[in-house]
Amino acid sequence: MIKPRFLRLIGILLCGMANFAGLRAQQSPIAELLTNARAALDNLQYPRAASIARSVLALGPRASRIERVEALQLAAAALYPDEPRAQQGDSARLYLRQLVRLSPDRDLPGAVSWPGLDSLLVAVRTETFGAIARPRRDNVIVGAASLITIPVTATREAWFRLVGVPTAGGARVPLDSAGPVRDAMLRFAPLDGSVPRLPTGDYILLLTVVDSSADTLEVEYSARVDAPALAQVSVPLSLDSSKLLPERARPSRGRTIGVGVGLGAATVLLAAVLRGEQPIRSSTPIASSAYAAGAGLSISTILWGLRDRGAPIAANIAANAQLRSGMDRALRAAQIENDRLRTGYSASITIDPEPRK
Amino acid sequence: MKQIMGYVLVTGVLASHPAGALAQSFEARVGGFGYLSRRSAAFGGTVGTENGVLGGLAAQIRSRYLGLSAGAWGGSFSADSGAAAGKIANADVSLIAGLPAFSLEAGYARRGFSGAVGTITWSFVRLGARLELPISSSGAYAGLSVAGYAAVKEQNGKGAGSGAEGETSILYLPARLPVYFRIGYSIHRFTARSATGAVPDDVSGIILGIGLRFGGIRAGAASP
Repeated sequence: MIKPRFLRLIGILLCGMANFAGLRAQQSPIAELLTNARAALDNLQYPRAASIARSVLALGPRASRIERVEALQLAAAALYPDEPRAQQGDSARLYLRQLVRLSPDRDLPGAVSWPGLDSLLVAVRTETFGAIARPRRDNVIVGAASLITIPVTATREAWFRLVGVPTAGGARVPLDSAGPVRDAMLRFAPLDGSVPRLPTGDYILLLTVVDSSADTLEVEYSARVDAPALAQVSVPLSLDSSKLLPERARPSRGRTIGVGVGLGAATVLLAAVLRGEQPIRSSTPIASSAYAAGAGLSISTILWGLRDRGAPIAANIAANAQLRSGMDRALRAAQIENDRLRTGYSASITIDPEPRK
Repeated sequence: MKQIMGYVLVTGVLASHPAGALAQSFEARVGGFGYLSRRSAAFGGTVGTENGVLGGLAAQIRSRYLGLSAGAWGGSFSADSGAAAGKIANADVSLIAGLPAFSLEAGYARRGFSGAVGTITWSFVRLGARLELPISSSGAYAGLSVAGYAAVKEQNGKGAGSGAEGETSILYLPARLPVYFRIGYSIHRFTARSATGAVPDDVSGIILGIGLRFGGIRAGAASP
């Protein structure tokens, strides 16, 4: 009975060792270096820890941003341990400055930190310009009026500007700006009218931060956008004027002139025909007021007629009003439908919260 | 005068209705006018001409085909070489039948003259026609009316007579105001006959009128 149990224990141990070895084998060389640096720091081998951390930093862009942050933290901790004789304050400040530039709001991990180093980091933060955004990873927007919000912060007042850069190439899309402030919330709507500001695809969200001394930082975030175009009902912009009927008849100016002349002539004729009987008729001329009135009525009628815009045509006015009313109804219906589509619009942006470099 | 006041009352009642309630079925007008007139008269073969400013009132209420009109005018003339100073007055009430553009009218009228020889009054039947043509779509109309006098009788006497009248005018009915304006020329001829002979006279001159109106029965004329 004992023998099988012993064998099973041996087997488990062998499997565990094999897994551990496999894990070690899976680690990247940089991760291995960082592990060694941490081990050296744990063993109070400060020069060795600092040396390994420096070697990681020397790799430049081959080390990821997170690896560089960790290397800087280890280097600062190795150069400013709680053992006074081993402290190299100026060198530690150098690495802390770089750390603040990369990640201004990040504290030192408890494994490498001690109060003196924390105080040094606080001091360095006050004199070093750094900025960063802390976007949410998953941003789902429902409604075209909804906004994507990205909090940004800097170690001092600065101007923030966020643009989207398509990784497949294309024009940069300005998204929002703010400043001068230390903390801000950058916002942008997914749609510009009915067109997505950032059409579906991969982007780099580029945050540019400039302080008052023109010190400029650029921080990049990878983003995946899934934003379909907003399908909208076409809204008729204006009424087709060719469908409108004339609302006034063409003014009959010739007729009006005829009426005017006739009215003047009738005035003089009445004055002549309806004069008093003899002997008035033979001894009294036609009153001058009749000529004046005839001329005045003629001229007034003609002038009035020439200014005429034409008589209103009630049937056409009603038909046009109906047409306009129909147009208004169609417009309102289209607007209501478009409002519904805008309210139900959905888009998502997945942002890697860690800057790319 | 009572009749005229009656029309003023009716028009006032109609005007108190909400605009448009009767707008297309009735039209009512009441107003006054000045008559810058000249009177010529012959007494015993001598013709005299005098000027005077007369005044009058006019009222009308009508539907599209029927209506009633009433008017009165009068005033004084100064003396001239051929005629003594005097006062003249004329009043009539008529039925109107026909469209606004062309209608016939028949009515009863009275005419009075007061001068050196006393006061004489005549009554007569008035028959006429009137034409009213739109001259623009803004509410202006050219008007022409003529009427003849029949059955002229002297009141309390045996005198008879004859007469006629005519008028040309422009009537303006603003679209947005309950008023009307009238300018025109009017002439009235009258001859009184008695055993002693005939006394002809005529009164003519320029008319300037203004008044209130309600409703509208003309195609294209907006109601106030």
